Amino acid sequence: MILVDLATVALLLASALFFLAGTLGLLRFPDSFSRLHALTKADNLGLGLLIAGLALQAESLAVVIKLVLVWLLAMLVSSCSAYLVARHALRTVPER
Amino acid sequence: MPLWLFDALLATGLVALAWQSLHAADLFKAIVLFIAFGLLMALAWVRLDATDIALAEAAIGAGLTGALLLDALGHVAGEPKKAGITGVDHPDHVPEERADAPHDDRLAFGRPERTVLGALVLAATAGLGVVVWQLPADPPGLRDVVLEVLDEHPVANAATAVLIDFRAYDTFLEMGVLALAAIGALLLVARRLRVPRAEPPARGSVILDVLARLLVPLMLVVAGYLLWAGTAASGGAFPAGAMLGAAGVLLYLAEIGRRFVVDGPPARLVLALGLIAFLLAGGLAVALGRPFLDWGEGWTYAAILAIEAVLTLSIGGTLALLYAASAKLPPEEDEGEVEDLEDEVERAASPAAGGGR
Repeated sequence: MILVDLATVALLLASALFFLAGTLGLLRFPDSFSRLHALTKADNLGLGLLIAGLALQAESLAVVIKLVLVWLLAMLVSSCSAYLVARHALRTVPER
Repeated sequence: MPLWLFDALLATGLVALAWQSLHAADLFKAIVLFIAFGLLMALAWVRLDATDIALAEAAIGAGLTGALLLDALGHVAGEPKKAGITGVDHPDHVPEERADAPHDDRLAFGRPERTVLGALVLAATAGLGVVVWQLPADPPGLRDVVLEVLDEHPVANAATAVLIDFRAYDTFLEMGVLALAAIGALLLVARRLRVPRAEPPARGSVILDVLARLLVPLMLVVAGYLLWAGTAASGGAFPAGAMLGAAGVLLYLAEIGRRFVVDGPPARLVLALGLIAFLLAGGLAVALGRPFLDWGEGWTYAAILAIEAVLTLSIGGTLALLYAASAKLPPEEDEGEVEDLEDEVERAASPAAGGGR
């Protein structure tokens, strides 16, 4: 099953790339809102690719379902917290 | 891929995060780095094969302690701007309050003292490292004895057996410590945690409300699972209690739970539940002719599970109450009633601060 392993490695590398891009955006973007953009979009996609790569290596369907549930939960919580951070930043930022 | 590479990266990451957290000039950044440090620490525990501790570290150390620290920062800083959360980060945009604020986040040591201290700490760490490296891989100790007894024990998880059976006295006193800490927190802010007179105006966000309604049932299920699985696999009362506490904190933040997390007889009963459970169970053992907290042959499993369930409730309630005790209510909810200790301290300090400037 060397093809599955290759696919897993490719997906994990792509996921690492997206996480790196998200972190780069966090460090280099000028204000909270663009940083939130980078974090939620790039990191969520990175997490999705990571879950896909791990699901290929899972031993049973139950593990795959658990991984997908983790992914859905992470997406839900990260989008809600991104919204809350943006709302807070909108309130406290001085008007330009 | 050798696993030591992962371990080396983890260790370096831990040291780097700790260094950054201690040296951050901005307290908010320091707290966020501390939370990240807690998460890496949980990974380190997993690598050391202590999954129960990893669960507790992630939930309490990184999660709840981070939330409490952020709350404390809110009290200290006053306005959110002072805490460093700005929307725009231009190079010339420095908030006035921070420009002349003293950098007293670091200790006021001079250069020579810092060098000596640094050398001492490095020497101590190196010495510890050498000693740990030379420890035998299979240390003599209680481990083999415990594993032997664990074979006939109805509980298969070593951590749970040690916590609630072999070292039950320890956990009994820990519950006392937890109750004392909660009593201390309540003493400071007891008058604030009353049931609100009218329905407070909905300042919270709809999103937070929906998130709480979606997540809290899930968290309750996970807490129940951790409690049940604790007898056979990793889990147990402490991670389950931490999950319950986190659910309580989420309810409090979403303002659904403001009516429930108050200081009254039910809350105080929850604080004392852990101690009461141990006292009752221990008393039952004494009444049956055994030593205090020594579970008998037939009812060890039942005793352990019952005590763990009560501990979960007690720990969860205590953590949620601790968080609610420190959270700052908006001024319109106090409605000019009896102020508590904090407002009196503020009023006493403000003329002094106003005169000092």
